[in-house]
Amino acid sequence: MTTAYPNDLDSWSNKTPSVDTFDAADINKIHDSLVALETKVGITNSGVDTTMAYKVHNFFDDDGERTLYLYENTAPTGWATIGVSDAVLAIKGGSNAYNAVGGSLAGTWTPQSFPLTYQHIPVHATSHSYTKINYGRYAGGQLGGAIAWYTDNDTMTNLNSGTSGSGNTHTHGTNAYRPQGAVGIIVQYDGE
Amino acid sequence: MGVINYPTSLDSWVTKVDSVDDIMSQHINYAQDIVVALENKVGVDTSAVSTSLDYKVNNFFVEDVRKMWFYENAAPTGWEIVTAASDALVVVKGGSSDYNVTGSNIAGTWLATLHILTEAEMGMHDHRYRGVAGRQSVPTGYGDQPAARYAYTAGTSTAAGGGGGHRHGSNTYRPYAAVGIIAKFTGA
Repeated sequence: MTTAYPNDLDSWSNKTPSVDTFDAADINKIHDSLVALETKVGITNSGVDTTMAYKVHNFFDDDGERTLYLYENTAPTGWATIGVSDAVLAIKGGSNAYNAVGGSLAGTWTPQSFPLTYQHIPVHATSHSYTKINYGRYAGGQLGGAIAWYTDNDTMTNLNSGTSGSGNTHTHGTNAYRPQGAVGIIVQYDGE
Repeated sequence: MGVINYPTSLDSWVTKVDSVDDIMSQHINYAQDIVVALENKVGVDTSAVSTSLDYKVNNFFVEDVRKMWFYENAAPTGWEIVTAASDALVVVKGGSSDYNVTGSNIAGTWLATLHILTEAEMGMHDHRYRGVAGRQSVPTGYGDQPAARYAYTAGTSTAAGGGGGHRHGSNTYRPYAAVGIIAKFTGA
C-alpha cells in the first residue's frame, strides 16, 4: 500500500502535461487511497465496529427506534416529536413504578396522601377560660339577729377536652405541582 | 491541477473508453484532488480538525465514556445499559443542593424530606372542655349579703401532641415519567 491514509493525509504532486509521465504506481496510489477511505467510512450496514458507518448507522437507526430527549423546542431535520408530554425523564429499574418497560410512561403526578395522627401534631396548648360565679346564699338566721351567708364557689374539675378531627389524609398540592425542569422534547429518528 | 467540486457539491465523471480517450495528466490530477478532498472531509484517524467527520463521530462515540438516556427498552447496537443507573430521574447538574455533584453520578433520594409541623401550620381548632362543677359552700359569717360577682379566670390547657415529623409516602412515590434507559457506547 502506498497510501498514508487514514493515519495521515496523502500528499500528491500534480502531473505536468508533456513533462511528467504517469504509470501504474500513480493509479495504484489513487486506488489505495480510495480503498482506505472506503474502509474508514464503511459500507452500508457495515458490521465492522471501527467504521464510521457502523457507529453512525447504529445510532441513527432509521427504523423508528432511536428515541431521544433533546433540550430543544422543535425536532431536528430527520427527527419527529412523539406523543410524550408533561413527564419527567426516568431510568427504568427498582421495584416501584419505574420497574416498567423502557419507552413507556409510568408514575403519577398525584402526590401521595398522608393521614396526620396525634404523633404528627406539634406539641401545643390552648388557652381557655371559664366563668366562676360567686354568689351569696341565704343560709337562714335568727329572728332579729344577723343573717348567715355562705358563698358558693364553683370549681372546675376533671378538665378533659372533647376529641376533634377526623384523621383524614391530606396531600401537598394537587397534581399541578411540577419540579423545576429543563424542558425539551422527545424525538424519534425517521431518517427523513 | 483539476478543478473539483467536492465537498461543495458532488463531482461528475466521464467514463473513459479504451482506444478512444487519451488518459491525460489532468485526469490523474483530478482523481488525486478528489481523493485529497475526500480525505480532508472524512479526516484522519483521531483527527483534530473539527470540521472533519472523524472528529465529530469519534469525539461523540467515545468508548465507555459516552452515556445517554434513550426512550427505549434495550441498548442500541454498540451500546450497553449502565445497570448502576436505575430507578432514577434524569436531571441537570448544578444548583446548591443534591444535584451539585459531578455528572454521571446518582444523587438525591426518593425519601421525601421529613417535615415537622409547627403550631402555625396546624389548622384552626379549639379544645372543648367538659367541666364538672364542684360546689363548695364556705361560711362567710353573718351580716349583709355578699355582693354577687362574676369572675373570669384564664387558664392554659395541658400541652398535647407528639411533635413528630411526617413525610408523604415513604420512598415509593414516583412522579409521572417517560421511562427509558441509560446506555454507554461500547464500540461493539
